Amino acid sequence: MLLSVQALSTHFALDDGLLKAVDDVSFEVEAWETVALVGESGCGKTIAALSIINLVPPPGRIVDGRVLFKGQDLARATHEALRRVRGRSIGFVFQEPGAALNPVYTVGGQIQEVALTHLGLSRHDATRLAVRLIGDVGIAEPERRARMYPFELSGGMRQRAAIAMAVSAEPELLIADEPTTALDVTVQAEIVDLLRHLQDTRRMAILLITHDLGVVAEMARRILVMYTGRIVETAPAGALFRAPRHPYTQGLLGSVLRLGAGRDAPLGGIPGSVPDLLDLPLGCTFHPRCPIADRSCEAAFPPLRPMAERRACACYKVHAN
Amino acid sequence: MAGVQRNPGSNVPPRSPLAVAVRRFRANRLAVSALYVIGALYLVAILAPLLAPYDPSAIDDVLATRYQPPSWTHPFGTDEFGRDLFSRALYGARVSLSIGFLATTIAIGVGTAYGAVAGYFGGAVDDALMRLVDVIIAFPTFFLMLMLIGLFEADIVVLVLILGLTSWTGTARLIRGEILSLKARNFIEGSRAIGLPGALIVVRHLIPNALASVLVTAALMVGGMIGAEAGLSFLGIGIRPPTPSWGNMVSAGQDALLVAWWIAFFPGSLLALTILCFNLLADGLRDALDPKTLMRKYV
Amino acid sequence: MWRYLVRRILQAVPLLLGIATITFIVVHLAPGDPMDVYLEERYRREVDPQVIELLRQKYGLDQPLHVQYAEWIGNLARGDLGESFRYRRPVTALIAERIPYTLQLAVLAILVDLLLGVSLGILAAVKQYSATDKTLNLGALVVHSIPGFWLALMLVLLFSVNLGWLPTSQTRSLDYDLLGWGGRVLDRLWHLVLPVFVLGVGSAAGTARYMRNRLLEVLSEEYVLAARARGLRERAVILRHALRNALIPIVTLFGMGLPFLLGGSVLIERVFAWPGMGSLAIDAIDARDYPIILATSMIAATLVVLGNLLADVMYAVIDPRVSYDGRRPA
Repeated sequence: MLLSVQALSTHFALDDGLLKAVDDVSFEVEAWETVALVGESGCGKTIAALSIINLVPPPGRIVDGRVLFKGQDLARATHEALRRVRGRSIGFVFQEPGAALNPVYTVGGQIQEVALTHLGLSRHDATRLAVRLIGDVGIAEPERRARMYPFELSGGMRQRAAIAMAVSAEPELLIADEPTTALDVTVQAEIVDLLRHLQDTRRMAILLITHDLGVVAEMARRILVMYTGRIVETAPAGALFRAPRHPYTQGLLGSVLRLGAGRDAPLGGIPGSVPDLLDLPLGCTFHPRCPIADRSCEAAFPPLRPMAERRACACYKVHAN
Repeated sequence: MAGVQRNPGSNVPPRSPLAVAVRRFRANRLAVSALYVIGALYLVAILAPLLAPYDPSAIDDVLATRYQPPSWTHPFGTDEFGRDLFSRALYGARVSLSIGFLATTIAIGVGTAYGAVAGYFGGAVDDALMRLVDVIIAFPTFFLMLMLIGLFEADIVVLVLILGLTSWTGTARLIRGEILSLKARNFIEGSRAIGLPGALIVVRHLIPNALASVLVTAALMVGGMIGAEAGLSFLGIGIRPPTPSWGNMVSAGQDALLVAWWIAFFPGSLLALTILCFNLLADGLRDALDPKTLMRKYV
Repeated sequence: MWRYLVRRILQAVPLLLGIATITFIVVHLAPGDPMDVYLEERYRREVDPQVIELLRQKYGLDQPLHVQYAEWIGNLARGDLGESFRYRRPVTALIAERIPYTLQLAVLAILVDLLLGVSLGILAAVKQYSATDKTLNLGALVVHSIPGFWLALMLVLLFSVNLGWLPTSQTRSLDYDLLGWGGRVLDRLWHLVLPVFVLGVGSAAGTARYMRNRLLEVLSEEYVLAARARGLRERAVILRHALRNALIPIVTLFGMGLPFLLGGSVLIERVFAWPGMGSLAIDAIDARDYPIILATSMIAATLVVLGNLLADVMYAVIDPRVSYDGRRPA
């Protein structure tokens, strides 16, 4: 098992209270597999992603659980051990295209830096590697582009450059946090293709964080659904789309517009709105909005129970069968 | 402007921003202490005639009473004329503190009006008004004060005016900026669409947003004005003796530095304390009113 | 980049013109007849009115306002700042005598300011929330609040009067003329210690806070997080990525700090009897010597404009974004 997250909890101690961005989250990612972590904005998926590489911004901290990457617990690793894993074995792509790029250095220079730090290449070799990578991610005229500054590139190109940087040291796992959200639709498709291509040629696992179900459908083999900092359902992609079990997942999928549904088909949605993470409902945090909830749902958050076909669901009302 | 960024779509009503700000301010012990000290200083200044043990200009037998070091009868000692420095310091507080407050009021008032006009009318009016601001800003404030004092007869009223009229530019830019950003946002049009008069819109939306910055600026400015007046008086062109001002008391202290260190020491310490308190207050206000000090970006 | 620079220089010209104009307007708004000042009240009555009229003509005071204005601007362009009422010498010459002293003070103070302020600011930011940070923050605030002239006096009290380590005032010791060249330099430096220290430390406090806030801002930028996510060494993250971006606006401190320094130096010059431009201005105010008053204010404003221009130039050199789109990024 490449990555095994066990009972991970990341909390923020704020003036206004304790914010449990990630609460008792467990999942696994196998080598060369694409897993999607799905949820609406604010459900904690980004913090979960940052927790894996133990880079949660203060005042957040990992308070419980383990993050086993190839057997090593990253939540408890030393600073130096973490540093060696980041970039080298785990790559990270951020949401804003090129936010990962420092505006005052050239694109090629920054990619080069990763190679120099982790691969111990000579400056000459690192430069050549950077140029080659820029070409690999689909940017035309790589030598010229390598000498450019981030602001000289379009959003799509910046994201490609950021991806190049993330995969430059040949990591085994690529964590992509909303890689397409801030891009135009046409560019989104190109980035998705790029990620799939890179995965094939480099045999990387990808942990895809997103709220865009369309992208998920194209890329993911397995899907994890997150709500208010907890995992509420996991399933293979096809099974989830065909037959979602958890009421929240059903609501999510129901609210996606479908082509050909007709003008009069009602817009699906989930009643109410996502609760404030500082002010969560007791018990199952979804119960105020849930069509099948009853009093027993107010006691404690339902555990994630494994079901048939490698699925799991965190709902008292859903039974394995 | 709530104290904490809420999740989009949350249906929990935000706690009143004022309540959040007040709570945060109270948690800052330094700022709260500073506020108390400032209050005490102003109180003392107002009550100076009652609190001063001696008449600040009372001169007795000069040779016998001059240059006396601090003692129980003269906590701050006496100066070259035998005047009690503690009493003079109390009266000096009246001068320095009131000038600081009044000058700041003028500066904020003029700045707000100026910036409001520039922002509201926009276009050529705004351009012209801001050009003038650019020119004024180019003058180092202190030099500007010097020049104006040198050209005009500076009695205390003119002094306060000069202090106020050289420091309004920051506030003007602030207010103008707020108005411009309000205009750029859609809800101005929305409000117009439902028929609210322009001026009312501006006032209703401008005040909460700009108030935070203006308060912080004002707190800083009072400290700055007190310092500026002290500097000018020290140079001999602000408040002139025999009217006591902390600044001219330090100047008198310089002449007697070798024989009577206390003449310069006490007024200067009071200056430092007062300005420090205003700076701490400004810091506390800034932290309490700034929505970004709680980092909730990443959820 | 050149387009940007040329544009900035062109923008500065109307500003300088504006400064001169405002000065002119303010002077003519001031109450009193310049002739009174020039001749000093008591002599005025004794002087023949015809002579007064001739003097007026000599100084162009009988001309209509717009003609005076044109002459004023013309004179300025030629570098003629008029003649001091009190010393009866060209103002330009007087200023030229004094400027080196002020510059010595200001330049050294800026160096102290930047070295001390930037390093302490970095320290505070890197150790954010620690005791070091809080102490430095409070310390900076305290230092910033203390009036410079009083601090100077207290230090003189301590180091000169009580300890005798440093001179009390003036630019030179009594035996200056007897010293050799090296001795003179050292003597001058010895006399510069206290004034430069007070000036420099006072503004270093502000610089340190600014630097700390700026660096913290940069450290919370996504590219710093991303740099750590790439597994770069912490030293590289701070020095190469964060600092490079954080230092960019420091050059604007040069523009911001100059007004503060000029104002502060006036007070310091009074404390240390330092014969710079500041004390020239103060004496002129006492004596109501209009030409000097005007000239010093205008010079101060011009220096500020030039300082900002210099800061912009440095900005353009350092930040690649500026050269490209010709605007300073927010």
